Amino acid sequence: MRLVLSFLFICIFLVPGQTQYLTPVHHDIQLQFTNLDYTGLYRSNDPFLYISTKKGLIRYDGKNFIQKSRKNDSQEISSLFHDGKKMWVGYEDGAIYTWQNQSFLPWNIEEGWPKSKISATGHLQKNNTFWMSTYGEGFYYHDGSHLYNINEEDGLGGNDIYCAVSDRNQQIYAATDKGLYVLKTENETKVVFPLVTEPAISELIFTKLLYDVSTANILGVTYDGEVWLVHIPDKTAKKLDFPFSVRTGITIGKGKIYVIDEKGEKPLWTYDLSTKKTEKFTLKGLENDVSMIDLIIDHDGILWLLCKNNGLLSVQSDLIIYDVGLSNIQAITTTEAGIYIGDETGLYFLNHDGKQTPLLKNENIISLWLDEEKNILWAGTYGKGLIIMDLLTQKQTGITEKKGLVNNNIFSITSYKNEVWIATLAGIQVFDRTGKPQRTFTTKDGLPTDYIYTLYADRNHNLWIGTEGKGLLQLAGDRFITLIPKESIISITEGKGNKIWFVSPEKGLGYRDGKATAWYTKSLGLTSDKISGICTEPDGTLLVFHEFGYDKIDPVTLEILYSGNPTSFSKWKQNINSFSKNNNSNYYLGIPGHVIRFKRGTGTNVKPKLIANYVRCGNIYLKKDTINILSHDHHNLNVDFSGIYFPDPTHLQFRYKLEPVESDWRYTRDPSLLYTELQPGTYTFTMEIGLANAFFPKEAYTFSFTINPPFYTTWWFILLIVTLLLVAGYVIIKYRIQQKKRISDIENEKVKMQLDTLKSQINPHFLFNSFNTLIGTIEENKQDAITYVEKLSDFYRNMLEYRDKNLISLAEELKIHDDYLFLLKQRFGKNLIIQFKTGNNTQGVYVIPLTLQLLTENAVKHNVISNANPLVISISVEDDYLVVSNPVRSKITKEKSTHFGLQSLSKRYKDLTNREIQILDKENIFSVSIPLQTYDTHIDH
Amino acid sequence: MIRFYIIIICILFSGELFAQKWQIKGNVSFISDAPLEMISAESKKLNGLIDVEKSTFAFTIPLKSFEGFNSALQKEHFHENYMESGTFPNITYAGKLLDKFPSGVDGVYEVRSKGFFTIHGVKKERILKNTIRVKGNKIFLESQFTILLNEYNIVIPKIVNKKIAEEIKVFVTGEAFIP
Repeated sequence: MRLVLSFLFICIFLVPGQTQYLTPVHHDIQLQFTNLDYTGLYRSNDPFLYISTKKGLIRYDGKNFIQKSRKNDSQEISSLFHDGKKMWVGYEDGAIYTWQNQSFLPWNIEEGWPKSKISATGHLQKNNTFWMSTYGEGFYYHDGSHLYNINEEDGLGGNDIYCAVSDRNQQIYAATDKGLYVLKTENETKVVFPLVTEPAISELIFTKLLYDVSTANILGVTYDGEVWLVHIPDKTAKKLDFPFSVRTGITIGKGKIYVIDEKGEKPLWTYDLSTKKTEKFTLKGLENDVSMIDLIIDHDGILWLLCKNNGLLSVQSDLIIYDVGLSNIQAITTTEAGIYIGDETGLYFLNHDGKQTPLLKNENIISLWLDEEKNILWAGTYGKGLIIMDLLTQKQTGITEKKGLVNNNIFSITSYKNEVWIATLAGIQVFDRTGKPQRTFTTKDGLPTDYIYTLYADRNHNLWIGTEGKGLLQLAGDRFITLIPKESIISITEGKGNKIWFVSPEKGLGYRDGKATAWYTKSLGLTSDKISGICTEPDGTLLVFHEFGYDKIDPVTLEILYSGNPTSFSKWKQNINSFSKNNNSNYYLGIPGHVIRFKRGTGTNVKPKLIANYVRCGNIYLKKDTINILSHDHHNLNVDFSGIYFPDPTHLQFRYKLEPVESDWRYTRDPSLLYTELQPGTYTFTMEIGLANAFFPKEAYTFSFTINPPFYTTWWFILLIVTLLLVAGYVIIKYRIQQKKRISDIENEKVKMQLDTLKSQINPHFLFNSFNTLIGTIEENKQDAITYVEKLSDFYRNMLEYRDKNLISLAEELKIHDDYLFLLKQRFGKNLIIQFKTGNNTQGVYVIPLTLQLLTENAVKHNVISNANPLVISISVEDDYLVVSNPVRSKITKEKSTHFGLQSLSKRYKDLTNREIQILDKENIFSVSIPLQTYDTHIDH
Repeated sequence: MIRFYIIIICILFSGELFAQKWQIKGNVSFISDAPLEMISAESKKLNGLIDVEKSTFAFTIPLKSFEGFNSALQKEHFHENYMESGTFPNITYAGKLLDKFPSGVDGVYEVRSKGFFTIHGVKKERILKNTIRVKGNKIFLESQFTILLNEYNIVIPKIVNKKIAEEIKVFVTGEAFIP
């Protein structure tokens, strides 16, 4: 399919054409956004291109479109301006928004927005003033603190401003119903006056104004479609006549005015501001439909077209293509009037309007040289000798081998020391300027070979000779010095820095620097080493033409300045002599079917621009030129860059590295990257932009950042934790030791008390008393005696049973105590009265077993018990105390006491319950308060 | 001052017999919110005129009518050191309305005014954003703006510059009476 298409393509161009045209490149905005209503274009002070639509603003970097808009927007954007930092977006309803980096925000000012359409916006650097013109309220400016207004009452020609521009002198020109007005502020006072006072001009209503910095002209388009050029310094206005009505399709820049004639066959018109010449061009692919919405020429010399149906298109404005219908152009030379093209079918003349006339037919022209002084064209053929043509008289003189020519195959013609030197397959022959042969140089004269491809005379009057297989020679007097042996040299030129550059089909581009030879290879950034020819710009920079386009090299720094193919032809396939430069600063290049004309410097001042959209770690945006310190959880590096190179976005390449993770460059075409889970450490991320293999380190972005280790791996944190653990361990161990000691103390006390209780129970007094009681009882009541013995044995059993327990419930304690009381009651009868006021809750409270028995025993032991003085013991629960009290009637003869019972009991209560026994001996009442526990303590072994 | 009365007189007596003129009475308060001290004062003696048909207006307020302040001494400083109320007894604002609004229809309208402030003997143009509320026969006016002291030649000694703000916030409310 492709073969068939390319065949058709060739067939079309084989028909000799007469058109000169530009080839617009389509930008597929319509793929991403559907049903867009475009309203305008903007590119200035910012690398991006902006397209305003009825649904918001779109930013374009050559590859991606990003859209931003107001919420629920139905208003049209009516003005755009970028002040170098942010984009100012003015709307039809007077709203003003700004777009900076990622954020699109309303511009909030105390005075509020105008309520009329913002027709233009701008910025005066002099006093940092933002200005805007409105259609309805005149002119506003904001000086950083307040907004001011200039309207009719201040002398403005009307409150409806159609358009406004500011010039390099910080003056503003506003188009009103009464013509152009100049506005400025001087020492905080408003200065307003009409620019041109001639009545004929002051009546013009301009709907579009454009300011051209380089010529200080204002271009105005009137309501009726007239185009006027107002020269600011002279205050003169001149009408430019175009045979069609101009609307929005007009722009000024790069020394030219570009206008679109929407209905014309050649829709693009250019008007050169210095030569005042008009040229017309076809726009390839737009022959039937150029419905313009907006047209701008940007600082890169790219013409941007926004068309209703075709969307966004761009054209390299200074690159024009002529259809010549010649399939094998082998030589080109130029004059003021046009260019001479040598083809395998003959010699042709092409004037600047694209009109082509054949001069010689059936001649295979492979070299051309124009003697501009004498106006004589020298044409060298392949096999048919030399043809010298007087361009005024069209008289031709053929010189062949028969007429003294050394050989009929002429590869190169050049002038050297006022003579004409030709390179042939039988050496070099020298002619005078009229065409008379002078002398020849062949192998016999010291030439290493007779096959000579090219001759080049430099500014220092050296003649350089390129040979087939025998290298580069230099003429010294009558001798030839071989500088490079072996190579075939097909093209030679001189660049600045006194370097001689040459091309070898095998080894590519080389140069001679003093006495050394070096090769400039693809590794240095050259796009291709299949080079067809080289030449130099007037400023001494080197142009290298190759199969994919051309590269531009600075011969001193050896930097690549440009690399690309500004045409829509994918392969150039030009021949070695098929390019020429003229004095009109144009280059001509012949490729199959076409001649490409481009201006010197095309694409050369345009360097790719690298823009960092964002570089962030987590949610922290990194700053350039500083070391960013980040915490350990910001370990994902996320970068997004844009590369802008509108002349040829497909040539853009990026390389990046994250040191120290990556030591070598990585290459990509999509500069959006994500590094995840970076380890703590210091990193440097670098991003560079390049065209094909040539990178521009000056355009690089470098970000340094340090990810701190998490706090739990830092030495101080570990030390802190270890210390804390040691302290905690020490505290726990100490506590355990203390607790063990307490438990063993309790055990000790318990054992002591048990021993004491046992001792008192087997106390002979107790037994003696018990037995006496028993004897008395046996005699009186046998049954009672049996019960007494049973109770006595119960009492001893209980003692054995409960002695190991720490705590028992008060109910249990009262039950044991009952048995003991029975024994006492038998002994003392009615002389011992026990009063219980213990209440109902005796199950839920706890005491140490045999407490009551001990206290009762004490009372009985120390007090007189007689008929006259009965002992009343009261046992009651008061709050959470068990109170045992009795009136004191001390015995005269005291029973021997160990004093151990009460002390020991008190100590045990303290250890077990942390509460002490309270002993009161006051007003003849002895009372002991035992703390009641509401739960069984855990110490229950 | 004389000029101001001339303006008022001109507005009052100029033009058509049926020109709609509103007389405005209202309050003005201001706040100076400095790092070390907040000063506020209020006056109920705002007087003004709006000629709705011609979109012109004039307002005046006598400085001596401001009450409030944090101390009597502060008030004295306000009049004698900063505002020089003896020499410049009034603040005036007069000019034209930038936006039109239907004065007979109920509603809330944002109406911007472009006029000259005369403060401390310095005349400066300012645009203010105002709210006019029309409800039946009643018309209310509201405005909020800031005044930069250095624009009006009011110099604050460095020793108190943390007590007096460079930017004074002003609040205006008023009610219109149609004579």
